[in-house]
Amino acid sequence: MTPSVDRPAVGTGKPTAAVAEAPVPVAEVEDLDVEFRLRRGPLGGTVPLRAVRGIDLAIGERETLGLVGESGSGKSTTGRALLRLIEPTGGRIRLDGQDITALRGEALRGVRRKMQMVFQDPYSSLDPAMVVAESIAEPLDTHLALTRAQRTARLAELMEQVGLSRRHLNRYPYEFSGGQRQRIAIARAVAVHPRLVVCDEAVSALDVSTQNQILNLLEDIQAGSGISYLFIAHDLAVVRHIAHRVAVMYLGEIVETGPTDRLFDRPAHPYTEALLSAVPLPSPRRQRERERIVLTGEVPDAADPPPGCSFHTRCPYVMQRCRVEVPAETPVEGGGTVRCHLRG
Amino acid sequence: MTPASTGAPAPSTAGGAAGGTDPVLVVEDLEVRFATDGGWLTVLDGVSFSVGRGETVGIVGESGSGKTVTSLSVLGLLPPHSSRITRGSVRLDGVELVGMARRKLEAVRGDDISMIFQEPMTSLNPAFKVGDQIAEVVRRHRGGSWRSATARAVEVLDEVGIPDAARRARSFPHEFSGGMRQRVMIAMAMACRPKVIIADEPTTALDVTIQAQVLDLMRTMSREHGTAVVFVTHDLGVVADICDRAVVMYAGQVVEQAVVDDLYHRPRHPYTAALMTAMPQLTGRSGRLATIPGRTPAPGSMPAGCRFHPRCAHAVDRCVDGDADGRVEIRELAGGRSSRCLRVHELTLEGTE
Repeated sequence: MTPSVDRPAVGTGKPTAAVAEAPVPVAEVEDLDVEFRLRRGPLGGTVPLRAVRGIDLAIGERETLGLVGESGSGKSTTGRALLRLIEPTGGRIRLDGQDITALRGEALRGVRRKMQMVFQDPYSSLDPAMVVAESIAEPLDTHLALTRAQRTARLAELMEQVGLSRRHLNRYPYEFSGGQRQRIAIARAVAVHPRLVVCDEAVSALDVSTQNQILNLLEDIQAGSGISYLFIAHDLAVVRHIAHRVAVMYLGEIVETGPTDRLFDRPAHPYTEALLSAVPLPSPRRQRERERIVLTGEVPDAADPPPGCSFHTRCPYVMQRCRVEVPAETPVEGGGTVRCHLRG
Repeated sequence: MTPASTGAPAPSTAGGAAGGTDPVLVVEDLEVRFATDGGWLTVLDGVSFSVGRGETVGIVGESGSGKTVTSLSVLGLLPPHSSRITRGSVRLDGVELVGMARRKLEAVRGDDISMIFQEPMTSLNPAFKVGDQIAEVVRRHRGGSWRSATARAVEVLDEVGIPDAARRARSFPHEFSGGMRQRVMIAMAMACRPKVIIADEPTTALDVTIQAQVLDLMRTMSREHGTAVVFVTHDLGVVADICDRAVVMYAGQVVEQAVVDDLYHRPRHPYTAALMTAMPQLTGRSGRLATIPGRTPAPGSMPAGCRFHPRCAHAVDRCVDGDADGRVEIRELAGGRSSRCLRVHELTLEGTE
């Protein structure tokens, strides 16, 4: 295990390899494991499902880490475990160097201020019966002791920051479009100056023009405040645009990480390669002329992952070794790491 | 590993244009109204397009463009009490579907024309085995024995790549993954060898590697059986991948039609161009993402003149006035294309190619 090769870049937005005295990441998970019990054994018994299997991630200051993978890959579970919204079964979670894996009660509430989340459907995070002002003020009231005047001023400032008007504060969520609701969810998430925001498919439900407005807003907020994002998404073109580094998950494991340009231009893992190749390009000519890899079969059952390399059942380059031996994490030229015997 | 590129040039204008000389589906001047608290509102305004035999035509647009209402109108599946087709015609192989008696329409649907939706669970009955559901469709339209209909179900499940089809025909819908369920839907839609399939966002809920498989399957099925496909989607990548021609919709109107190569090379309507510019590119980041200001207007509050003018980077005063009747009519252009833009002959717009 060589976590040092994949230290996040800090400040510059440009990744650097193997810096000995790298600054402390904003958020870090080490050997994270999350297991669920599935009720599907005989006689109502349960079987274990390891949704996340021993992953390492680090997110630097002012950095956006893209987390991609298909449904069931464990990317959302990773985001929720990082925020301590679900209990990990193993590993460590650190925020600004502080181990928060086992924090409880008041101590946990204290660090919660530093990490917020934006979901795909703002309807699920905004209370339909509350006016917008109450929704956004909730984290303010929980975490900060503001005077009435300070609170009012902060609410107006937040609305302006996300491109809405303070007149909107007394309206209900249903009075807004999908894009506006997502702006409100973002205002609520950044209200208490968090260090990290986990965006879980935050723009997936939006039309492209609205989606871009939200992505631009997230970039503006980062440029202004130095906030970090864990950006979980299945849309690879969006991730290419917004992320500085990317981690690719498959069946609960990270199979490749790297600086965004390197990973998209020279994918090192066959799964990353296939994933990129499956995205149709908005150009009929280029789409006809490109070499495509169409994966056969489907993602295996996460409760019963294949031995060896978990991708071997669908890999076009599978070798005998892949069926038995788990590939080790190997550095990739140009930055990042890969787990593949072809590169070992 | 399948290198999918053939290198063959796509039909540029001939054949593909306007569904060719022998269209199998012709939609003409379709107007649809929905009942609201404020009375009947026009949601589709004079939609016309046609689909040639074996051709795949994309209907592309954002939410509120009317693309799904168009597909439901063609199928006669609009909610009967809260909506009505107030004008226009839908002809399937020369037979008028608008105004057709419900029983007769039900006989056509599933036989000559069938559909695939985004979420197969809404179209499959969870309580019946998939083989039985397909066999039921076959029996209803083609008659014959239960045994022969079941055999047909297994045959078509095998055709869409369901492994061990004879055994899987006895499985229930929930026992399939999302991708496999969509294959079952395609099998059901293809069971009676329809002339036209309407597919409304059939791959939107699927993972990208599974989407690639389903698109390949639809392409193969359409080619092998000469089935025409109307592919409703918001994804310009999917249109580029699978469609011969595209119909771009905005605010209840068709704003542009062209063969896909022409469309992506040189869009002739600013809305099409704006959508193309806004798409984040897999091939690299290019500074700030382009946006289209404002949002799609709601039925009942359509802007005067060109409906896109409040959001259009190229709008001038006369875009507000429109043509003589205050609307902007569609302009027929060379190469079988058309555009609903007053300035179509003045503007040169950038595509993605």
